[in-house]
Amino acid sequence: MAKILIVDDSLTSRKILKGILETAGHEIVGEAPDGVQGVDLYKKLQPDIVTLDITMPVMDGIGALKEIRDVDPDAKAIMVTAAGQKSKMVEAVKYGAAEFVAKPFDEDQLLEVVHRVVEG
Amino acid sequence: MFGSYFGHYLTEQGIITADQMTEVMQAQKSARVKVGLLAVASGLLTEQQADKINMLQQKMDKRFGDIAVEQGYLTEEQVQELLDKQGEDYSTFVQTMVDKGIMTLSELTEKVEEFKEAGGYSDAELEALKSGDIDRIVPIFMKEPALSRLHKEYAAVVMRSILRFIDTDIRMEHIEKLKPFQGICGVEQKMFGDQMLYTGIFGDKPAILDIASTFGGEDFTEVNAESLDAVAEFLNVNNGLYVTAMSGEWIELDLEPPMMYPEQKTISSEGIAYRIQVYLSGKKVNIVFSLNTDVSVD
Ligand SMILES: [Mg+2]
Repeated sequence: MAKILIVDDSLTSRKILKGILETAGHEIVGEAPDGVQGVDLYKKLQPDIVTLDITMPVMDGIGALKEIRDVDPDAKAIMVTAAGQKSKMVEAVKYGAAEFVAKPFDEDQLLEVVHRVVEG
Repeated sequence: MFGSYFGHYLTEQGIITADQMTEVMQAQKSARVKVGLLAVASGLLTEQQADKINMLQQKMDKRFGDIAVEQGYLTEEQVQELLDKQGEDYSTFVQTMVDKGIMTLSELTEKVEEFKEAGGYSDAELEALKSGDIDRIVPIFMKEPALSRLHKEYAAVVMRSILRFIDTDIRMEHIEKLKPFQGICGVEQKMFGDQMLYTGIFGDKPAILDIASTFGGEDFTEVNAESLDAVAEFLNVNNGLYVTAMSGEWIELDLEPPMMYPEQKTISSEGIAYRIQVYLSGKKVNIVFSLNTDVSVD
Protein backbone atom coordinates (compact mmCIF):
# COMPACT_ATOMS: atom_id res chain seq x y z
CA MET A 1 0.00 0.00 0.00
CA ALA A 2 1.23 3.45 -0.89
CA LYS A 3 1.51 6.83 0.82
CA ILE A 4 -0.19 9.24 -1.56
CA LEU A 5 -0.36 13.04 -1.87
CA ILE A 6 -3.37 14.42 -3.75
CA VAL A 7 -3.04 17.74 -5.58
CA ASP A 8 -6.27 19.03 -7.14
CA ASP A 9 -8.03 22.39 -7.00
CA SER A 10 -11.42 20.76 -6.68
CA LEU A 11 -12.43 19.70 -3.19
CA THR A 12 -15.05 17.41 -4.72
CA SER A 13 -12.46 15.71 -6.86
CA ARG A 14 -10.06 15.30 -3.91
CA LYS A 15 -12.84 13.75 -1.85
CA ILE A 16 -13.77 11.25 -4.56
CA LEU A 17 -10.12 10.34 -5.14
CA LYS A 18 -9.43 10.01 -1.42
CA GLY A 19 -12.50 7.81 -0.94
CA ILE A 20 -11.48 5.38 -3.66
CA LEU A 21 -7.82 5.20 -2.61
CA GLU A 22 -8.48 4.84 1.11
CA THR A 23 -11.07 2.12 0.56
CA ALA A 24 -8.41 0.21 -1.37
CA GLY A 25 -6.07 0.51 1.62
CA HIS A 26 -3.81 3.36 0.52
CA GLU A 27 -2.86 6.15 2.90
CA ILE A 28 -3.55 9.76 1.93
CA VAL A 29 -0.74 11.67 3.61
CA GLY A 30 -1.75 15.12 2.36
CA GLU A 31 -3.89 17.23 0.05
CA ALA A 32 -3.20 20.49 -1.76
CA PRO A 33 -5.43 22.77 -3.88
CA ASP A 34 -2.77 24.12 -6.27
CA GLY A 35 0.66 23.36 -7.68
CA VAL A 36 2.64 25.65 -5.38
CA GLN A 37 1.22 24.13 -2.20
CA GLY A 38 1.51 20.71 -3.79
CA VAL A 39 5.25 21.09 -4.39
CA ASP A 40 5.77 22.34 -0.80
CA LEU A 41 3.85 19.39 0.63
CA TYR A 42 5.70 16.96 -1.60
CA LYS A 43 9.06 18.13 -0.22
CA LYS A 44 7.77 17.93 3.33
CA LEU A 45 5.93 14.59 3.13
CA GLN A 46 8.00 12.60 0.61
CA PRO A 47 5.03 10.46 -0.49
CA ASP A 48 5.38 7.28 -2.60
CA ILE A 49 3.05 8.75 -5.21
CA VAL A 50 1.65 12.19 -6.00
CA THR A 51 -1.51 12.67 -8.05
CA LEU A 52 -1.44 15.95 -9.99
CA ASP A 53 -4.55 17.47 -11.48
CA ILE A 54 -3.57 19.28 -14.67
CA THR A 55 -6.04 22.20 -14.61
CA MET A 56 -5.35 24.20 -11.44
CA PRO A 57 -4.95 27.88 -10.53
CA VAL A 58 -1.67 29.49 -9.35
CA MET A 59 0.45 26.65 -10.74
CA ASP A 60 -0.97 23.88 -12.90
CA GLY A 61 -0.15 20.19 -12.73
CA ILE A 62 2.53 20.34 -15.42
CA GLY A 63 4.36 23.14 -13.58
CA ALA A 64 4.16 21.19 -10.33
CA LEU A 65 5.40 18.03 -12.03
CA LYS A 66 8.45 19.89 -13.35
CA GLU A 67 9.38 21.28 -9.92
CA ILE A 68 8.77 18.02 -8.10
CA ARG A 69 10.95 16.06 -10.55
CA ASP A 70 13.63 18.73 -10.17
CA VAL A 71 13.93 18.11 -6.44
CA ASP A 72 13.23 14.35 -6.69
CA PRO A 73 14.15 12.83 -10.08
CA ASP A 74 12.56 9.52 -8.99
CA ALA A 75 9.21 11.09 -8.06
CA LYS A 76 6.23 9.04 -9.18
CA ALA A 77 3.49 11.29 -10.46
CA ILE A 78 0.08 10.29 -11.77
CA MET A 79 -1.44 13.06 -13.88
CA VAL A 80 -5.17 13.56 -13.43
CA THR A 81 -6.91 15.11 -16.36
CA ALA A 82 -10.48 16.01 -17.23
CA ALA A 83 -9.50 16.03 -20.86
CA GLY A 84 -7.54 14.11 -23.41
CA GLN A 85 -5.54 17.16 -24.43
CA LYS A 86 -2.75 15.76 -26.56
CA SER A 87 -0.29 18.64 -26.11
CA LYS A 88 -0.63 18.59 -22.31
CA MET A 89 -0.07 14.85 -22.24
CA VAL A 90 3.01 15.09 -24.44
CA GLU A 91 4.38 17.80 -22.13
CA ALA A 92 3.67 15.69 -19.03
CA VAL A 93 5.46 12.69 -20.53
CA LYS A 94 8.43 14.91 -21.37
CA TYR A 95 8.68 15.97 -17.71
CA GLY A 96 8.52 12.40 -16.49
CA ALA A 97 4.89 11.68 -15.60
CA ALA A 98 4.48 8.02 -14.67
CA GLU A 99 0.83 7.60 -15.68
CA PHE A 100 -2.43 9.33 -16.57
CA VAL A 101 -5.95 8.92 -15.25
CA ALA A 102 -9.01 10.61 -16.67
CA LYS A 103 -11.97 12.26 -14.95
CA PRO A 104 -14.62 11.10 -14.26
CA PHE A 105 -12.71 8.47 -12.27
CA ASP A 106 -13.17 4.85 -13.15
CA GLU A 107 -12.46 3.12 -9.85
CA ASP A 108 -10.93 -0.07 -11.28
CA GLN A 109 -8.80 1.78 -13.78
CA LEU A 110 -7.55 4.22 -11.15
CA LEU A 111 -6.53 1.46 -8.73
CA GLU A 112 -4.83 -0.49 -11.48
CA VAL A 113 -2.80 2.57 -12.47
CA VAL A 114 -1.78 3.19 -8.84
CA HIS A 115 -0.81 -0.46 -8.51
CA ARG A 116 1.32 -0.29 -11.65
CA VAL A 117 3.09 2.84 -10.45
CA VAL A 118 3.78 1.34 -7.00
CA GLU A 119 5.22 -1.81 -8.59
CA GLY A 120 7.15 0.06 -11.25
CA MET B 1 -37.13 12.32 -21.39
CA PHE B 2 -40.45 12.00 -23.19
CA GLY B 3 -42.22 12.09 -19.84
CA SER B 4 -40.31 15.25 -18.92
CA TYR B 5 -41.72 17.02 -21.99
CA PHE B 6 -45.20 15.54 -22.29
CA GLY B 7 -45.75 15.45 -18.53
CA HIS B 8 -44.80 19.12 -18.34
CA TYR B 9 -47.33 19.89 -21.07
CA LEU B 10 -50.07 17.97 -19.27
CA THR B 11 -49.28 19.73 -15.99
CA GLU B 12 -49.25 23.14 -17.66
CA GLN B 13 -52.65 22.41 -19.25
CA GLY B 14 -54.04 21.43 -15.85
CA ILE B 15 -54.76 17.90 -17.07
CA ILE B 16 -52.64 16.29 -14.37
CA THR B 17 -51.30 17.73 -11.10
CA ALA B 18 -47.66 18.33 -10.29
CA ASP B 19 -47.89 15.55 -7.68
CA GLN B 20 -49.19 13.11 -10.26
CA MET B 21 -46.35 14.12 -12.56
CA THR B 22 -43.79 13.42 -9.83
CA GLU B 23 -45.47 10.09 -9.04
CA VAL B 24 -45.43 9.02 -12.68
CA MET B 25 -41.80 10.06 -13.20
CA GLN B 26 -40.80 7.99 -10.15
CA ALA B 27 -42.83 4.94 -11.13
CA GLN B 28 -41.72 5.12 -14.75
CA LYS B 29 -38.27 3.91 -13.80
CA SER B 30 -39.61 0.44 -12.93
CA ALA B 31 -42.48 0.22 -15.41
CA ARG B 32 -42.90 -2.93 -17.51
CA VAL B 33 -44.65 -2.22 -20.74
CA LYS B 34 -47.30 -4.57 -22.07
CA VAL B 35 -47.21 -5.31 -25.79
CA GLY B 36 -51.01 -4.99 -26.05
CA LEU B 37 -51.04 -1.47 -24.71
CA LEU B 38 -48.21 -0.53 -27.01
CA ALA B 39 -50.07 -1.95 -30.04
CA VAL B 40 -53.12 0.20 -29.27
CA ALA B 41 -50.98 3.26 -28.52
CA SER B 42 -49.26 2.81 -31.88
CA GLY B 43 -52.57 2.44 -33.70
CA LEU B 44 -51.82 -1.13 -34.84
CA LEU B 45 -54.72 -2.64 -32.91
CA THR B 46 -58.07 -1.35 -31.77
CA GLU B 47 -58.89 -1.57 -28.09
CA GLN B 48 -61.48 -4.27 -28.91
CA GLN B 49 -58.87 -6.39 -30.69
CA ALA B 50 -56.47 -6.03 -27.77
CA ASP B 51 -59.21 -7.00 -25.32
CA LYS B 52 -60.00 -10.07 -27.36
CA ILE B 53 -56.35 -11.15 -27.39
CA ASN B 54 -56.10 -10.57 -23.65
CA MET B 55 -59.14 -12.78 -23.19
CA LEU B 56 -57.67 -15.50 -25.38
CA GLN B 57 -54.37 -15.18 -23.53
CA GLN B 58 -56.07 -16.11 -20.27
CA LYS B 59 -57.21 -19.38 -21.84
CA MET B 60 -53.98 -20.36 -23.56
CA ASP B 61 -50.41 -20.08 -22.44
CA LYS B 62 -49.17 -18.02 -25.34
CA ARG B 63 -47.59 -14.64 -25.76
CA PHE B 64 -49.70 -11.66 -26.76
CA GLY B 65 -47.76 -11.17 -29.98
CA ASP B 66 -48.14 -14.78 -31.07
CA ILE B 67 -51.89 -14.70 -30.59
CA ALA B 68 -52.14 -11.41 -32.48
CA VAL B 69 -50.32 -13.01 -35.42
CA GLU B 70 -52.53 -16.14 -35.28
CA GLN B 71 -55.63 -13.99 -35.30
CA GLY B 72 -54.29 -12.14 -38.33
CA TYR B 73 -54.25 -8.80 -36.50
CA LEU B 74 -50.51 -8.25 -36.72
CA THR B 75 -47.61 -9.44 -38.84
CA GLU B 76 -44.44 -10.93 -37.35
CA GLU B 77 -42.63 -7.74 -38.32
CA GLN B 78 -45.14 -5.56 -36.50
CA VAL B 79 -44.75 -7.66 -33.37
CA GLN B 80 -40.98 -7.25 -33.55
CA GLU B 81 -41.42 -3.51 -33.99
CA LEU B 82 -43.54 -3.44 -30.84
CA LEU B 83 -40.99 -5.46 -28.89
CA ASP B 84 -38.34 -2.93 -29.95
CA LYS B 85 -40.52 -0.11 -28.70
CA GLN B 86 -41.02 -1.72 -25.31
CA GLY B 87 -37.95 -0.03 -23.92
CA GLU B 88 -38.78 3.40 -25.28
CA ASP B 89 -39.46 6.32 -23.01
CA TYR B 90 -42.87 6.92 -24.50
CA SER B 91 -43.97 3.35 -23.82
CA THR B 92 -42.99 3.36 -20.16
CA PHE B 93 -44.59 6.77 -19.64
CA VAL B 94 -47.88 5.72 -21.19
CA GLN B 95 -47.88 2.43 -19.32
CA THR B 96 -47.33 4.20 -16.01
CA MET B 97 -50.07 6.77 -16.65
CA VAL B 98 -52.54 4.00 -17.48
CA ASP B 99 -51.46 1.77 -14.59
CA LYS B 100 -51.90 4.64 -12.14
CA GLY B 101 -55.36 5.29 -13.57
CA ILE B 102 -54.47 8.92 -14.26
CA MET B 103 -55.53 8.87 -17.91
CA THR B 104 -56.87 6.30 -20.33
CA LEU B 105 -54.99 5.27 -23.41
CA SER B 106 -57.33 7.05 -25.79
CA GLU B 107 -57.15 10.25 -23.75
CA LEU B 108 -53.38 10.02 -23.84
CA THR B 109 -53.22 9.44 -27.58
CA GLU B 110 -55.41 12.48 -28.12
CA LYS B 111 -53.26 14.62 -25.82
CA VAL B 112 -50.07 13.52 -27.55
CA GLU B 113 -51.50 14.98 -30.77
CA GLU B 114 -52.28 18.26 -28.98
CA PHE B 115 -48.81 18.23 -27.43
CA LYS B 116 -47.26 17.79 -30.87
CA GLU B 117 -49.31 20.66 -32.25
CA ALA B 118 -48.59 22.98 -29.32
CA GLY B 119 -44.86 22.30 -29.46
CA GLY B 120 -44.76 22.63 -33.24
CA TYR B 121 -43.01 19.27 -33.54
CA SER B 122 -42.76 17.43 -36.85
CA ASP B 123 -43.60 13.72 -37.06
CA ALA B 124 -39.90 12.87 -36.96
CA GLU B 125 -39.34 15.12 -33.95
CA LEU B 126 -42.21 13.55 -32.06
CA GLU B 127 -40.74 10.12 -32.78
CA ALA B 128 -37.35 11.34 -31.52
CA LEU B 129 -38.95 12.61 -28.31
CA LYS B 130 -40.79 9.32 -27.85
CA SER B 131 -37.57 7.35 -28.27
CA GLY B 132 -35.92 9.17 -25.37
CA ASP B 133 -32.65 9.12 -27.34
CA ILE B 134 -30.86 12.27 -26.28
CA ASP B 135 -28.77 12.50 -29.45
CA ARG B 136 -31.98 12.70 -31.48
CA ILE B 137 -33.73 15.05 -29.05
CA VAL B 138 -31.09 17.78 -28.64
CA PRO B 139 -31.14 18.86 -32.33
CA ILE B 140 -34.88 19.63 -32.07
CA PHE B 141 -34.03 22.49 -29.72
CA MET B 142 -30.95 23.76 -31.56
CA LYS B 143 -32.51 25.67 -34.43
CA GLU B 144 -30.82 29.08 -34.11
CA PRO B 145 -29.50 29.64 -37.65
CA ALA B 146 -26.06 31.00 -36.68
CA LEU B 147 -25.09 28.00 -34.58
CA SER B 148 -21.85 26.34 -35.64
CA ARG B 149 -21.00 22.66 -35.36
CA LEU B 150 -18.91 23.45 -32.26
CA HIS B 151 -21.92 25.03 -30.55
CA LYS B 152 -24.14 22.10 -31.42
CA GLU B 153 -21.57 19.60 -30.27
CA TYR B 154 -21.19 21.48 -26.99
CA ALA B 155 -24.92 21.38 -26.30
CA ALA B 156 -25.01 17.66 -27.06
CA VAL B 157 -22.13 16.95 -24.67
CA VAL B 158 -23.72 19.01 -21.86
CA MET B 159 -27.07 17.29 -22.19
CA ARG B 160 -25.45 13.85 -22.22
CA SER B 161 -23.46 14.76 -19.10
CA ILE B 162 -26.54 15.99 -17.25
CA LEU B 163 -28.33 12.78 -18.15
CA ARG B 164 -25.36 10.65 -17.16
CA PHE B 165 -24.29 12.36 -13.93
CA ILE B 166 -27.23 14.40 -12.62
CA ASP B 167 -30.81 13.55 -13.56
CA THR B 168 -32.86 11.50 -15.99
CA ASP B 169 -35.86 13.83 -15.75
CA ILE B 170 -34.53 16.59 -17.99
CA ARG B 171 -36.20 18.96 -20.39
CA MET B 172 -34.36 21.55 -22.43
CA GLU B 173 -36.00 24.57 -23.99
CA HIS B 174 -35.10 25.92 -27.41
CA ILE B 175 -31.65 27.51 -27.47
CA GLU B 176 -31.76 31.32 -27.49
CA LYS B 177 -29.31 34.15 -27.98
CA LEU B 178 -28.14 35.39 -24.61
CA LYS B 179 -29.89 38.52 -23.38
CA PRO B 180 -28.80 39.87 -20.00
CA PHE B 181 -30.37 37.87 -17.18
CA GLN B 182 -29.97 37.46 -13.46
CA GLY B 183 -28.41 34.23 -12.30
CA ILE B 184 -28.72 33.64 -8.60
CA CYS B 185 -25.43 31.79 -8.50
CA GLY B 186 -23.27 29.60 -10.64
CA VAL B 187 -19.93 28.62 -12.07
CA GLU B 188 -18.03 29.31 -15.27
CA GLN B 189 -15.08 27.82 -17.10
CA LYS B 190 -13.22 29.08 -20.13
CA MET B 191 -11.30 27.13 -22.71
CA PHE B 192 -8.49 28.49 -24.85
CA GLY B 193 -6.54 27.11 -27.77
CA ASP B 194 -7.58 26.86 -31.40
CA GLN B 195 -10.86 28.46 -30.29
CA MET B 196 -12.03 30.41 -27.25
CA LEU B 197 -15.03 28.97 -25.48
CA TYR B 198 -16.95 30.41 -22.57
CA THR B 199 -19.14 28.00 -20.60
CA GLY B 200 -21.26 28.55 -17.51
CA ILE B 201 -24.01 27.04 -15.38
CA PHE B 202 -26.22 29.50 -13.53
CA GLY B 203 -29.43 28.99 -11.64
CA ASP B 204 -31.35 29.53 -8.49
CA LYS B 205 -30.50 27.77 -5.27
CA PRO B 206 -32.57 24.55 -5.55
CA ALA B 207 -31.28 23.59 -9.00
CA ILE B 208 -27.66 24.44 -8.19
CA LEU B 209 -27.88 22.48 -4.93
CA ASP B 210 -29.36 19.50 -6.78
CA ILE B 211 -26.43 19.40 -9.19
CA ALA B 212 -23.96 19.85 -6.31
CA SER B 213 -25.53 17.13 -4.18
CA THR B 214 -25.82 14.59 -6.97
CA PHE B 215 -22.37 15.14 -8.41
CA GLY B 216 -20.64 15.69 -5.06
CA GLY B 217 -22.34 12.69 -3.48
CA GLU B 218 -23.51 14.50 -0.34
CA ASP B 219 -26.48 16.58 0.75
CA PHE B 220 -25.67 20.25 0.31
CA THR B 221 -28.15 22.74 1.79
CA GLU B 222 -26.25 26.00 1.27
CA VAL B 223 -24.75 27.64 -1.77
CA ASN B 224 -21.15 28.15 -0.68
CA ALA B 225 -17.60 27.34 -1.76
CA GLU B 226 -18.11 23.63 -1.10
CA SER B 227 -21.35 23.10 -2.98
CA LEU B 228 -20.27 25.35 -5.86
CA ASP B 229 -17.02 23.38 -6.06
CA ALA B 230 -19.09 20.29 -6.85
CA VAL B 231 -20.95 22.16 -9.61
CA ALA B 232 -17.65 23.55 -10.92
CA GLU B 233 -16.16 20.06 -11.01
CA PHE B 234 -19.21 18.79 -12.87
CA LEU B 235 -18.66 21.54 -15.45
CA ASN B 236 -14.94 20.75 -15.53
CA VAL B 237 -15.56 17.04 -16.14
CA ASN B 238 -18.18 17.85 -18.78
CA ASN B 239 -15.82 20.27 -20.50
CA GLY B 240 -13.08 17.65 -20.35
CA LEU B 241 -15.34 15.30 -22.29
CA TYR B 242 -15.92 18.08 -24.82
CA VAL B 243 -12.20 18.83 -25.16
CA THR B 244 -11.56 15.13 -25.71
CA ALA B 245 -14.24 14.96 -28.41
CA MET B 246 -12.81 18.06 -30.11
CA SER B 247 -9.25 16.76 -29.97
CA GLY B 248 -10.50 13.81 -32.03
CA GLU B 249 -11.35 16.42 -34.66
CA TRP B 250 -7.93 18.10 -34.40
CA ILE B 251 -9.19 21.07 -32.42
CA GLU B 252 -6.95 21.59 -29.41
CA LEU B 253 -8.46 23.28 -26.37
CA ASP B 254 -7.13 23.93 -22.88
CA LEU B 255 -9.25 24.20 -19.79
CA GLU B 256 -8.87 27.12 -17.40
CA PRO B 257 -9.62 26.62 -13.71
CA PRO B 258 -13.35 27.26 -13.11
CA MET B 259 -14.69 30.35 -11.34
CA MET B 260 -17.49 30.33 -8.76
CA TYR B 261 -20.17 32.94 -8.13
CA PRO B 262 -22.07 32.40 -4.88
CA GLU B 263 -24.11 35.60 -5.19
CA GLN B 264 -26.62 37.01 -7.62
CA LYS B 265 -25.00 38.27 -10.80
CA THR B 266 -26.07 39.60 -14.17
CA ILE B 267 -24.90 37.49 -17.06
CA SER B 268 -24.49 39.29 -20.38
CA SER B 269 -22.40 39.40 -23.51
CA GLU B 270 -21.45 42.02 -26.09
CA GLY B 271 -21.04 39.42 -28.79
CA ILE B 272 -23.30 36.52 -29.63
CA ALA B 273 -23.57 34.04 -26.79
CA TYR B 274 -26.19 31.37 -26.22
CA ARG B 275 -28.37 30.25 -23.38
CA ILE B 276 -30.25 26.99 -22.92
CA GLN B 277 -32.76 26.75 -20.12
CA VAL B 278 -32.79 23.20 -18.80
CA TYR B 279 -35.21 21.80 -16.25
CA LEU B 280 -33.92 19.07 -13.94
CA SER B 281 -36.91 17.45 -12.26
CA GLY B 282 -38.69 20.76 -12.81
CA LYS B 283 -35.89 22.96 -11.44
CA LYS B 284 -34.35 25.37 -13.89
CA VAL B 285 -30.69 25.91 -14.66
CA ASN B 286 -29.20 28.03 -17.43
CA ILE B 287 -26.42 26.69 -19.58
CA VAL B 288 -24.56 29.62 -21.10
CA PHE B 289 -21.88 29.29 -23.74
CA SER B 290 -20.20 31.22 -26.50
CA LEU B 291 -17.53 30.82 -29.10
CA ASN B 292 -14.76 33.40 -29.48
CA THR B 293 -16.65 36.05 -27.58
CA ASP B 294 -16.63 36.70 -23.86
CA VAL B 295 -19.53 36.57 -21.43
CA SER B 296 -19.46 38.89 -18.45
CA VAL B 297 -20.71 38.13 -14.98
CA ASP B 298 -21.11 41.27 -12.84
MG1 LIG C 1 -8.83 21.03 -11.75
